[in-house]
Amino acid sequence: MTLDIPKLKQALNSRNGARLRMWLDICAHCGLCAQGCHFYQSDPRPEHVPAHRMKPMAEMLRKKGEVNEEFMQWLVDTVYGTCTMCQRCTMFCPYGIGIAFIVRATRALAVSQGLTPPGLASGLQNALDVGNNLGITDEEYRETIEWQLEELQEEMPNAVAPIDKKGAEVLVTFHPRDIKFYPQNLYGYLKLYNAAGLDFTLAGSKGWDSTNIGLFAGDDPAAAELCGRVVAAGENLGVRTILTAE
Amino acid sequence: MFALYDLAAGPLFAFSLSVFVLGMGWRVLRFLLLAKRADPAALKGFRLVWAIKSIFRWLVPANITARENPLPTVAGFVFHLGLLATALFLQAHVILWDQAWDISWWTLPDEVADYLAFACLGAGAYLILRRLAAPQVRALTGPSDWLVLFLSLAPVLSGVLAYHQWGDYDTIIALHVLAADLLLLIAPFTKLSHVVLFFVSRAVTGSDFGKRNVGAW
Repeated sequence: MTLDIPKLKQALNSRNGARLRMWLDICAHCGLCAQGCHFYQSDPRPEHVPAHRMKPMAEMLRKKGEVNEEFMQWLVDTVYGTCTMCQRCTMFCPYGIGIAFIVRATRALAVSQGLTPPGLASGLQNALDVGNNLGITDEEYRETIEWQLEELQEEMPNAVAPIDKKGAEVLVTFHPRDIKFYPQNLYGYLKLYNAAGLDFTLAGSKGWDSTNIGLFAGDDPAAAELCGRVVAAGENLGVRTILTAE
Repeated sequence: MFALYDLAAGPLFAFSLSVFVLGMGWRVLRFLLLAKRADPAALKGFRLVWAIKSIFRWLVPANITARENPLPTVAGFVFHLGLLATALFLQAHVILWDQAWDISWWTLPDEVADYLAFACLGAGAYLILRRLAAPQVRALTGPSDWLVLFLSLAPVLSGVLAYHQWGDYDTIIALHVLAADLLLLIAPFTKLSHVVLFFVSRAVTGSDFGKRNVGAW
């Protein structure tokens, strides 16, 4: 890998805000966060203590962005490899330090160097290009909904699954997994909403995937784009509520 | 030694205390300025009630760490209470304020202050041992952690020695005041800035929890 240091410094400056600075400064290194971490609880290695995940950012600031490839590899391994950003450690921290917030800021440094881990990067690319992180085509999406609706109608003859119904109360969005791998979940959702008499609609081509890989990757422009699509779908259809997927 | 004591308790103390007060004020002000400029999300839609709830739960303590880690919690509270109570309410300290500035306030009975100081030292010993023995703490510990811990304990230890007149009183009382000066002086520039930033950090996080309605923890 070759590093683009000016770009790295730019990313560093854009993330060097009030909370980040405060939290790096006051962390008492007390280790109480370890109790909250499922990584540490299942494999109690020193580098699995949540506070350890703030070290790459602290070091990076100390070096003012002048780092080498080896450092970036350590950074990537630490902030992508040992944290799911679940924020449980914050519950245990006496100061309420947002370690996940710092992890996300640190991921943005990796993003600036094109070092997003491959799995995340391809999901993100799918989401941006196709409209969902599993790269499900429009046709597959509509066919899956039709198929599950037909099955449901054997049980509930009046069941509906409107797509792009203007003026519906609720826009229902999905995790693409529920379309591609677990259509029985889709069946369950449709059954529930029909039974509840909910005035709902599904979104057509874009805006139905409410997961946000950009957010996890630490890629703010991508995160804003993906979130914006769901919001736009909701606004175009004039719904009052957007139901987001897990 | 009298000259050193006079210097430490006079101009040096005035200097250190000024640095402490101004430095702590600057830490909060800098947070607010930086938040406005470089981290607007920090204070956007701030939820005051949740911020207060969150601070309260960790001052009492009524939180998940207190329930799941009672020993470090007790040690932490005894350490803080012992240090603050003796610094602010020891009769000998208040008399000095009275003599210098003609201001005075409630004081602790000397016997109670003595117990508190010993309890604080005991808690400090526990914190040192924990740093050495618990792998999750040891892995995080760096030189500045040790420096801050020992500098926080130095005024208490020398204070106990001075109160009981163990050792050479003149030397120890001078060192006691110097140690306190040093502690005040470094506080705004180290993790001891949590004196004020604890409240800022908890407020920000509490407000954030509030937005998601997930409990103040």
